[in-house]
This record gives sequence, C-alpha cells and structure tokens, in this order.
Amino acid sequence: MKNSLCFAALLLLVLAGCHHADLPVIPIGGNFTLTDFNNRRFELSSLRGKAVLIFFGYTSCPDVCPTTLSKLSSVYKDLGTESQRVKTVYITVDPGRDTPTVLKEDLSSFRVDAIGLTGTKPEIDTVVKLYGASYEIVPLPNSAEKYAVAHSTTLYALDADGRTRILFPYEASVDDIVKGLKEILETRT
Amino acid sequence: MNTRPVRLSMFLLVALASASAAAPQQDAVVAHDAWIRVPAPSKMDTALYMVIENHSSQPKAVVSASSGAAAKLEMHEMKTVNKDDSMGKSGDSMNKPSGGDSMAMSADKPSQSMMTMTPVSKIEIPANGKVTLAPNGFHIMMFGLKSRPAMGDKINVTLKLDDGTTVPVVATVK
Repeated sequence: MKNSLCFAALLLLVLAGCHHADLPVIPIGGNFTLTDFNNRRFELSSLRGKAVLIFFGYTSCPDVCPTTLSKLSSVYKDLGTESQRVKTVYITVDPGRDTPTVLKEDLSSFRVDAIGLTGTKPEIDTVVKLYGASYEIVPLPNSAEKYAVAHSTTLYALDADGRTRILFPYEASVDDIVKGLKEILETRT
Repeated sequence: MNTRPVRLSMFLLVALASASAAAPQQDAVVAHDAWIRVPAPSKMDTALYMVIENHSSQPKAVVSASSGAAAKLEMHEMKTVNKDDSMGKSGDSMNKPSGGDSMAMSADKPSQSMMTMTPVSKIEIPANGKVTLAPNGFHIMMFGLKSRPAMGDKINVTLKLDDGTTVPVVATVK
C-alpha cells in the first residue's frame, strides 16, 4: 500500500508538470550490461550525456509494445532537433524469441532512435529488478501464440547522468512525455 | 373432428417463421472503422481493431472470426493486473507460473501494474449498443498471415455471432 501511494505520488508530480528544478531523483534503476541488437555487449553508462527512455517489452507483444513505440515515434517527431539528445532503450523480457536479429528488424519499423537489448534470463531479471519492473510468462495452450508475456508498462526517463527522473505510466500522452523530456534536458546536473 | 383451426395455425406459424427468416438480420449488427496494424517485420501476425454496433433489442456476441488472409483468428483482451493482487485471480491462464518465470517487485520499489493478454471465447455487444475493439482492450489477433499486408491494403474478415449470423468486415491496414 505504501509503495502504491509512493508511485501514485510520483506520477502526480509528473502530471502536475512540476518545474524541472523540482524533478525528483527516483531511487530505482542504475547501470547495467546486456547484449544489444548488434550482438555486442552494451553498458547503459555509454549513453551518459543523453536523456534515456527505458521500457521492457517483447516483439510478439500484440498491443502494448507497438502502441508505446508508435507513441515514441510521435515524441521524437515533436522534439525536433532535441530528439538527437534522447535515446530509447528497449529491453526484451522474451529472450527466447527476441534474438538480436529479431529486435533489430522489428525496431527498424519505428521512427525511434532505439537500441534493442537482450541477454540471458538471469541478466534480464537483474535489470528488471533494478528498475522495479515485473513480467510473467503466461502459457496459452489453446492459442497459436503458445505463450504471452505479461509485463509492466512503465516508461523510465533518465537524465544525462543515468539517474531515473520520471516514471511515465502507460497512459501518458505524447505531450506528457515531450514535456517531461524537455524538463530533463533542461536540468543541469 | 374439425381440423381447419389446426391447419390455419400451422399455416400462420410457417408464414411467421418464413417472414422471420427473410428479415434482414445481417443489418442488426454492423462493424465499421476496422483497421489492422502493419505487422512487425519479423512477424506474420497482427492485431485487428474495429467498432461493432448492435442495432437490435437483443444482446449479441461475437463468437469467432475468420479471414482468407490468415490461418487463424483469435479474440483477445488486454487487461491491467496489479502484481500485488496476485495474478492467479485473473483467470486460468494466469495461474502462478512454475520454474521461476515470475519477477516479483522488490519491497522497496514502487508498485507497477502489468498488462497481460487473455484469449476470450466471445465479445459481447449490448442491445442497442456497441463495443469498440481498440488498443488496451479487445482485439482480434490474426495469426499466420498468408502475405505481408502493406499500408492501405484492404482485408476481408467475417465475424460470426452467437445467433448464427455473420457480419462482413473490411479492414484497412494502417
């Protein structure tokens, strides 16, 4: 209950459009290493200097993940030249199906400066835990899909120093995300 | 015994049944604004959305969908589940997984809900009402597309209702 209230309070701060000077540093997240969609080891800290959007998903996701990526396409468009200072990190929670090749192919269909990451299940679980996210494999024996992956939908916005500053709920609009990113980009660290 | 009243009743029953069968029941339910998401490059599956209106005074339900463009269509619903509420309560497919496939939140992390997809056996359309199949709610999954649809393509789909009638749908690829 206490955690839920804390999360709700953070979301309210975002939706209230607080001044960037008041953007809280949210005590979740941190550096991690996974494998990128070019099959190279990737360290989050290599993105220092950029605002970073992180979310967890999977490419067979029929609805939530493509909707989020479509929304981010609009965010990048609306940010204009400032979009060059924003990197999106898409972390799969379905490493069995989402190989680096699949991640690269599917992310290429969205106009988002995104890097797809995968890893072993323990590696991914470590990052999921680091960000307070969650996922669950849901067997679908009577479906052509075989299994789905229930997953949290929060979009994590990090500042240029890799500190988590805003948690955008799935319902956040393009304008909400653009506004929040601009505040982060204006924040001097 | 006078059989005329019986014959007359039989005639009326048959006439009523014939008139009922001839009524334009297909128009009672119509679907519009149907669209299909362009499938991801590595996939031959996609989601179909639409608005289904029921102009009759009886509730209806879509019980299946078919299309020559895909091997199998399934009706699904996206739901938000709170991890704190125990996912096992949401349905048979959401039973607690075995083998450590679940990532529980750490106690010192904020609560975050999860989105999950569940197959459904029917989609109900209230009498004189409508149901909207849209992202974050109901959708129809098209598995095994026979060719890769391009933006603007039109795809024919047929919905089957619980009263046995069918509803034709033309969906645009977006």
